[in-house]
Amino acid sequence: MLPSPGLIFQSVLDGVFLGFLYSLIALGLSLVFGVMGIINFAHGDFIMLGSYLVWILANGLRSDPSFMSLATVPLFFVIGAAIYMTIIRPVLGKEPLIQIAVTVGIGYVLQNFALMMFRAEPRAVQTTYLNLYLNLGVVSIHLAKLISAFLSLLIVLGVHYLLTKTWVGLAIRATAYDREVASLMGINVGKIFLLVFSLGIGLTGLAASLWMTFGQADPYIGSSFGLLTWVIIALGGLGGVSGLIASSLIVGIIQSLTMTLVSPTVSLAIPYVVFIMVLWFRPQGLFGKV
Amino acid sequence: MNPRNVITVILPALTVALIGTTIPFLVGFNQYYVLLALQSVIMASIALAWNIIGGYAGQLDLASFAYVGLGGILATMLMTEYNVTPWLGMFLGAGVSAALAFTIGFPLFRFGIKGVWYALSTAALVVILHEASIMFLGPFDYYIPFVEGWYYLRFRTWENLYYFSLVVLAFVISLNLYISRSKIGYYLKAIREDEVAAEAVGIDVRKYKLLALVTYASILGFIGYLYIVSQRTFSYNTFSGPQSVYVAIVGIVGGLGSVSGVFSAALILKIVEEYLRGFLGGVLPGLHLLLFGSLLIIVGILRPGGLSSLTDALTKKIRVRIQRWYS
Amino acid sequence: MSNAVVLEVSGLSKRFGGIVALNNVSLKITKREIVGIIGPNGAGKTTLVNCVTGIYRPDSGKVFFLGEDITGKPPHLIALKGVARTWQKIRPFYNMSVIEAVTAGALLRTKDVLKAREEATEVLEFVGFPKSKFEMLGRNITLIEHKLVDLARAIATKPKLLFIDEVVAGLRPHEVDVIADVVRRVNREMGITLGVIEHVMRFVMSISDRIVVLHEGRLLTQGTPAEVARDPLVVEAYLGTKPV
Repeated sequence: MLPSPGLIFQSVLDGVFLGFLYSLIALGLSLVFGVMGIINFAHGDFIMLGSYLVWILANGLRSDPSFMSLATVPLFFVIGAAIYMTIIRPVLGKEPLIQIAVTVGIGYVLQNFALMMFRAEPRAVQTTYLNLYLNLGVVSIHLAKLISAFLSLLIVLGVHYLLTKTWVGLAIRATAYDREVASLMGINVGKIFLLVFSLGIGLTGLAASLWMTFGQADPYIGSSFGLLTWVIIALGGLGGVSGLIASSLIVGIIQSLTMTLVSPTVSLAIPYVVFIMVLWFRPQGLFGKV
Repeated sequence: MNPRNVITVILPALTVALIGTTIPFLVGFNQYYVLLALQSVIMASIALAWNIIGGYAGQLDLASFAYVGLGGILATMLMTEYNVTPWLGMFLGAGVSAALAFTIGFPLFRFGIKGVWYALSTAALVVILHEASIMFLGPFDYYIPFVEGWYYLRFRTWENLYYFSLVVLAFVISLNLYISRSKIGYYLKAIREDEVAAEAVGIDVRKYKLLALVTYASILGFIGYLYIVSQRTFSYNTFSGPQSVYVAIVGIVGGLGSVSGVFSAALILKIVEEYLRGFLGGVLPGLHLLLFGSLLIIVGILRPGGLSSLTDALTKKIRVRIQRWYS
Repeated sequence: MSNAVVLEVSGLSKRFGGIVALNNVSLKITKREIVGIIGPNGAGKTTLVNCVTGIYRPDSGKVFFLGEDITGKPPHLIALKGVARTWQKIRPFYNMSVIEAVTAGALLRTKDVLKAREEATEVLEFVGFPKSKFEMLGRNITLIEHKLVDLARAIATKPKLLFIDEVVAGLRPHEVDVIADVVRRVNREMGITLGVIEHVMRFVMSISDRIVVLHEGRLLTQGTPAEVARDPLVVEAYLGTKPV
């Protein structure tokens, strides 16, 4: 039995929307990894934490989750700065295993904190203004997904502009390219690291509020977001913003298609199968430079 | 190996096993405590198996429960479906886990995957098996039908399984000590410290990493059945990401490559877990894991030596004394 | 046999993107020789060693060791054949003790750990590493001690040919003299053929039998230290880029 073309088209469309949100999530992680060489395994868990925060705020204020980004982004920016100062900075020069282990520890703490506070039930926001469907004949567009995809793309391009066209962006890229030379040129590498890490975590606050316009919070979404974003970075290489968006869309579409055509279970596993294959055959990523 | 080395490899393992056998008597065969001891011994064995790939070879492997689950579920289902004795099933489980590790490890090491990408690939492996097993097992918990006797390695009370697990633990401890004193151990540690420099002194990095990975996986595949029996149940959730991370936490908090450190960490964390569960379990279910995560962060920041900084000094003292007796 | 060719490199080239790091370099090293390989920054000295020891695969050209083609073989096999090296930027084993690190090198020729440890002790004593620090972790020793351990680790593999890559960089003058003495003894007493990659002229001129000069990836000239020092091409290559 073949699925109808409409169903496939709908599924691809949903995958594209999801993909843009993924690109926003992956952006923060790739910045932190690319500039600082820090391997953050807790990235997804910050989104999880943010989702719960948005859930509490949006339900309390009876308002739309997307507005909560006004609170979550600055808050997470500050949390990011605090974590950088206390946990990340001390392990900057240490061996990769210790660096990864420390962020695995952060993720584990956040996950179990959520489990302790909220139990394992999924939670969704009740009030959303965006829970509307635009019916276009063959497909219907979920407004919340459309808006979150649009906003994600806007922010990704905005950060790209910041990196390529401003003085701060130049300093960040110089630091990523060569720390020692950058500091010789008078760039305060410590401050750049602080900024980049805070920005990376701040962006998860935004991603969380966009996610909650249509998704649910539960303690384990963090690890699946986290792994998925690493898969995206592996596929995209650490090249540029176009590779990042392209691989986010690929992952989103693959996931959405397998969810529709095969089963939700398979859709959770399939990106990782692709990931391992890519690592085997093209370790520099699908879009990375050789 | 010369006789003195044999002693330093076997003696600590025997001592642990002998002290271990007294525990059921000390707690008056209270089943709660014997089960606790059994679970601690199994966790210590798993963490010490991890020590081979994580501690000696320095690869942050996050897939331990992929191998525990695969080997364990295989042995358990062979028993429940075909009445195959776990004595055979456990070896088959070890073989299948080893084969999986080889299949994953060969291309990964061939293409020089290490650091974060190795950690991710192994984390991905657990997710893949978790989702794949939902397809095969369905979303159910399986309880093992009650069978009894040495043929099934299942008993009305926990003591016999506990004694059996002590033998396994003693084996894993000796294996660790043997590795650390042999060429393999020196080579794995050199790889952990610097792969490029290791290759330049003639170490076949790929071969030795693969050897460590396959050894680790086959031990876990063997232990799988014991783990499942001690948990009384299995399901797709046996392929657990968080549990795999927990194993790495024990290995790092204990101290990379330190047998006494990892062993103590496994026991202490298990006791703390039980203690907190007893007091706060109803109120704050994830608290112990939250604390262990914090502990991992603190060890990472402050002293990468972990618990071993304490235990190594002690074991060294004991070793020097023993060596004096024999010389 | 004393003139037997240990290493023969013919037409070796290696490029990275648009940069030609090695351009058609050919040279020979004969038994028991100390050959200084010099040249300004970016001349291709370390690239040459990396191509010979298997870290890089050359784009074209051949490498023969004792008459056998070893081009493109993996580093561990080349080490097994008898080519060892030290590192310009030290690559220490921070969480292993000094004796353990050198033992790891000695284990290339034996399976017996105790025997390897004895050999490691001998090698460490030979290079003059302080005996009181054998059990110290790599993270706790000084720069010159790291250089000695690095050297001992390479010698412990019992090489026939050893490349020493900018060993005196960052050392104080009296430490340079210590190292120069060790390097000479490695050659004379152990009979190991040496390729000494160097930047510091005084050091390399004093210990080498023969000097090979690389410049911008090409072999500029070769000869005795005295000949090379007088060669106008060499003077120009150095002064033309930057004085040393």
